[in-house]
Amino acid sequence: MLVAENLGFAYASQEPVLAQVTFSVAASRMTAVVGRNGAGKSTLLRLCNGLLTPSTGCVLVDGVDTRSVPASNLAKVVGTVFESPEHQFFKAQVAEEVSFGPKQLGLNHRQVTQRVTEALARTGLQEFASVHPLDLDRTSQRFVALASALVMKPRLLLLDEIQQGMDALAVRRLETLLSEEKAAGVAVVFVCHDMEFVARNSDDVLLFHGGQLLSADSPMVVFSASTLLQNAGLAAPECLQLSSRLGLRPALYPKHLVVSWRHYLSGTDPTKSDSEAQRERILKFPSASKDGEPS
Amino acid sequence: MRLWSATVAPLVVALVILHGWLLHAPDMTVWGALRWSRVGLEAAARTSGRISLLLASSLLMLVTTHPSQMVKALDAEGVSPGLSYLIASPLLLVESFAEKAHAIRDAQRARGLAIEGPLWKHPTTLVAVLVPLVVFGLDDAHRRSAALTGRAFRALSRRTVLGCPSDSRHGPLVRWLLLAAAVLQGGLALWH
Amino acid sequence: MALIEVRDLEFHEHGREVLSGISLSIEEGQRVAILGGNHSGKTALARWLAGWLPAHSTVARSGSVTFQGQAWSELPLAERASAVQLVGQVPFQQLSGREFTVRDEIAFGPGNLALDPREIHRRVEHVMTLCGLDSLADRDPYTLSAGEQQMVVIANALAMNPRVLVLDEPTASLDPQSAECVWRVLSGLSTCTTIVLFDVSPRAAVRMAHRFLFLREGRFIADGSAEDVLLHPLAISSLGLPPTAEAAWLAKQEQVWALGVGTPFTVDGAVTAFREVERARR
Repeated sequence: MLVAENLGFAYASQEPVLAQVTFSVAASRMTAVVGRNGAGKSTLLRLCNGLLTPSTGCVLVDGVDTRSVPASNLAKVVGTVFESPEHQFFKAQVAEEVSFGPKQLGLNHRQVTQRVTEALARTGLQEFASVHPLDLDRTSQRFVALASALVMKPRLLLLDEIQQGMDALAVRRLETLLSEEKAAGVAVVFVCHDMEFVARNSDDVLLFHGGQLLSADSPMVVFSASTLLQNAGLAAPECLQLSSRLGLRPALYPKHLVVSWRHYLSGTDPTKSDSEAQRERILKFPSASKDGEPS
Repeated sequence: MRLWSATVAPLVVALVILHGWLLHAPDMTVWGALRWSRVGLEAAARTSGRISLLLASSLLMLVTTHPSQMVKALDAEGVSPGLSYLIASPLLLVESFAEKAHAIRDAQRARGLAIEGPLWKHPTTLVAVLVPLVVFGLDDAHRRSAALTGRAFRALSRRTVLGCPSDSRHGPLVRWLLLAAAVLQGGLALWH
Repeated sequence: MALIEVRDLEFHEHGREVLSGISLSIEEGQRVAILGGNHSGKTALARWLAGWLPAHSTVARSGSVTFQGQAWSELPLAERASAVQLVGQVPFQQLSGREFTVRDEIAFGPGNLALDPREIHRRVEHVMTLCGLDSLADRDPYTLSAGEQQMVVIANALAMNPRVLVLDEPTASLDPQSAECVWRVLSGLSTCTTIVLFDVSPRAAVRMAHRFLFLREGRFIADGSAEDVLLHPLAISSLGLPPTAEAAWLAKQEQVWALGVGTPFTVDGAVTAFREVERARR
């Protein structure tokens, strides 16, 4: 769905912001873009939706070179939610704001209404349909911007720090939405500073530093490369840090850490399945209590 | 000098054409395909001279006086802090607003608005860029006002200014003389 | 006498109840974290604590907020600004908009109090060093990064020598590295400065605060230690749990924990806690 080949970008007479970046994102994949400020993450998103033209190399969106079509045309396929959602609000009501995109596509009134109703329901904004977008709190504004992108039924979704400032309830709502999009075949690329969010939601991680792509792999592989992470000025997710410091099998999530912890305490091989481990415990400790601990 | 010349030159040319050629005067003289009036050219020279002097003195002040020094001098003289704020804030905020306008335009392009190229070519889509910018400006003014109040802006009748520029030895005398000259000139103009 | 006393505060805005029945006492030297999800009323309460009185035309309210026994409305603006300072989320909107260097920006607030120039100079130099801004002293504040601007905003607040520093999600719009710089400065402040932190995530709060409150839909639900508040079911639902705390909670459910070992909220705390569990069980 998205391919970057030897991508490079520099603003006029300045140092390159991105250099020799090559990666691909398939449909139904969630890819996180991580790195310190100034690593080139937001520039990368702007190259993927055609707002910026590559200085070297190219970006292909669904096989189309972004240099060959204007950004407004790419908007039919690429949905973007920027870090500052208020930049795009110019309608007096949330429903009007969300309906703007489908109207630009030339859809009829019935189709627009259907899409807008669906988008507002999915993002939990039905009760705010008649409210002015700027009267909403920042989290709700982000969901309005997301609804405005989803209503276009994009095949590639670009998100810039969308989860910033959201409470746990809103984050869960967001994660559900993104899973649905992924299941529907959409490729999702999201810039994120929250490593826990990245660990929970990404299939692949692109690690950037100084405009270079240091690593493109699964979250476990990228976050386990401690030297690379250190060079990029980032910290691994907390569970991975904790499992490393406790000498346990690497774990990205609390439940996996606890499984490793249980095996560690009982002295069993964590690579074995739970039933095999249970059998091993019974052999080792014939009088073990139900939870497998020595009595 | 370059800025002054670049600004004044088109004005002078326009005034010469307007007064010397286009506007009818009693002493119009035909010279080949052109018509010109001595009275008109004199009027053009007077007006050009006045505009050039005004522009030159403004530019001189801008080039020799950093806005921060002007703000501090005004504060030190007890001028209302609101006035110095009106002078300083546009200079400080204009670049940030320009960046904001650019970001807003990008956000709208990413939603399918075809506004590539200069904005004046897309008058119907101007509202999609201007409304968020104006709203941002109003919201910013409101929040900044609250922040200023929180830092006791205008809480007292005077404020302490660090690094205030000191007046030159003859500065006050020159200023009084200039003021007197301006009053005298005004009086002479009324007399005639 | 409490430094700030809130009694039965009720606050409405645009016809909606934002705060209801809020009562709170903040003593000198306390480090308090008030956590709440979106729409919980955090920003409104932060403004009330800081004396940023809302415009009367949009407000219907009852109750009181006093500073050392005096209502905010009874205190002159200069005294209010010297008593409590508020640091908000967006640094750009908190700069004065009339100063051309970082040094002048920091001097702006004390200048409004008509302090002696030497005192202003001393304060400015002190907070610039404290906040690591010495190398940026002559820079235009509007050319700085968001993280640097927020550090200037904090310096602006500290230069007023406030008794209380109210922080309303001060790192909400910052990247982790800039946020870390901000927390390091704030954690290092003298205990003479009372701090009230409002946030949506407990991550930074657990490093700084000793007292926690959970705010939900304009009401306090819990008040106490980190464990008392962050493990409250409603708090977990709104705020989530730090991964280390979630791991400990799951370990308790799986009965691979030990009695008496508290719930850790940081990685360092978790390492200590897990080792303690291991020792207890072996």
